[in-house]
Amino acid sequence: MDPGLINLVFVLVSLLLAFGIGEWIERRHYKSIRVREVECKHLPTVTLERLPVPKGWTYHSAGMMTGHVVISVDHFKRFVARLRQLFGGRIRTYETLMDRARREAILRLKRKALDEGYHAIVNLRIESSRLASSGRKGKGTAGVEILAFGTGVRMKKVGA
Amino acid sequence: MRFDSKLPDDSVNMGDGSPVREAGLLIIGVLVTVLVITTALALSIETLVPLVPPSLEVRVFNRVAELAGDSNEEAPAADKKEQECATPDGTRVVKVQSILDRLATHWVDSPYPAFHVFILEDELPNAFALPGGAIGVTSGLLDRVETENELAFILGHELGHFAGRDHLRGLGRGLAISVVWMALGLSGDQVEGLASSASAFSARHFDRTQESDADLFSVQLLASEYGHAAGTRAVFERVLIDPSTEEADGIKNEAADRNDETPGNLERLAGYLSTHPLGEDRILALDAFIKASRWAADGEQRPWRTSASEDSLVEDCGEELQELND
Repeated sequence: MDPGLINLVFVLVSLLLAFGIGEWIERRHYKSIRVREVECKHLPTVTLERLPVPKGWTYHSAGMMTGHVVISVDHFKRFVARLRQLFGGRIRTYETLMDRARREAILRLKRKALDEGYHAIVNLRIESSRLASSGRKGKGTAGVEILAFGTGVRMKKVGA
Repeated sequence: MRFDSKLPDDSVNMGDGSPVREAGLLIIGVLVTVLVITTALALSIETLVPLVPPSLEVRVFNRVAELAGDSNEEAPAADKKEQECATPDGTRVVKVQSILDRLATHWVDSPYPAFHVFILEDELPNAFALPGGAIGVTSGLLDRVETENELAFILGHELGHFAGRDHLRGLGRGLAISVVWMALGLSGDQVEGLASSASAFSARHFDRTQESDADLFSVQLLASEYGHAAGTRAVFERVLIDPSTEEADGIKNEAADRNDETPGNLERLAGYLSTHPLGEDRILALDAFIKASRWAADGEQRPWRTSASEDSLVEDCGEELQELND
């Protein structure tokens, strides 16, 4: 068979394989995210700096809460994104990836806050940073870190 | 103020549509774009190559060879000949060169001052034309060749590439495509694999025409030198058969078995996808040309590997050396 055709078939087969595996992992992750989001739904998490305190209650204590996740891109998503760089437009394959990462980071933060007995998270912020890789002469991306951080607050009844 | 606890909404942040469909459209987009770019480049090269005078080509590429450290150029001719005659490979070079020189005399309006042969140690049977008038043949090819006529046909084919300036076209296309790849930032990129498949596909059309034209040019030299066109068929049927291309040969044999004049879809596709037209196609084109030119398709062929020829070769080598020393 012609080398050019073999090359093309190899590219397409590796893409399909990567897509199959990536899709399976993504579906499984979303399933887990949705279950845990329902579990943590009752914890108020806001971007406000101060939460209005209910009548008869006051702040008891506060603590720094963080939740982070480091994600890498699969071959299929990276390939499609690379093609998008040539033609322009929305990189949809990265949208689901970043959405999963952001939700996972917030979930980890909320889980930690619930475990430590906090009643709410205020001043929630999200940061991202790119991890460089040695590939492509240092221009490659090994992955992205999404960090969610905020202040966990505990309330107490006035006079308690 | 009441806190309204809500679950994240999946619908707003994620694009709709299938990622596979998006990938498919993008891949087709790249393939089509690259096909258009490389075809346009190849057509420009086709126009530009005839404008380069062969004298300039020889000057430039000989200078390149010198810069690459070809120290033999400086050695006296007699020393060089002695060195060549002393080794089996050197002897073979002399012999191949003498066949090439004889063939080249039949190319009367050749714009090239001379052609040089060199041997490359490689098991795969192959020969190639390099800019400046150099022709490379692999040791594997020389081992498989049984008659001088077969070798002459292959050398004539390479001379045909010089006649068509095909070596410059290939080089020009390669250079132009590399520049475009670099400009698009695709060099060493994973997308380059995809793009190079498309550009190879585009180059195929040009390569195939060149191969057939070189065959016809070669058979003319062969007929002028030997008075007949014997040995051409053996080149396709025995010499150039490469074990790694058994698949293409399988298709070819299958077509022959069916005794079918019109090739089936599979054969046509395989023929189109390969750089060189299938051997069978080239043989048919050659046979038709030989018939139309009224040359004898068979005739007495000169031996290539017999001990007698080796002896005469050593004698030739000795004579040439003597002449140079005188």
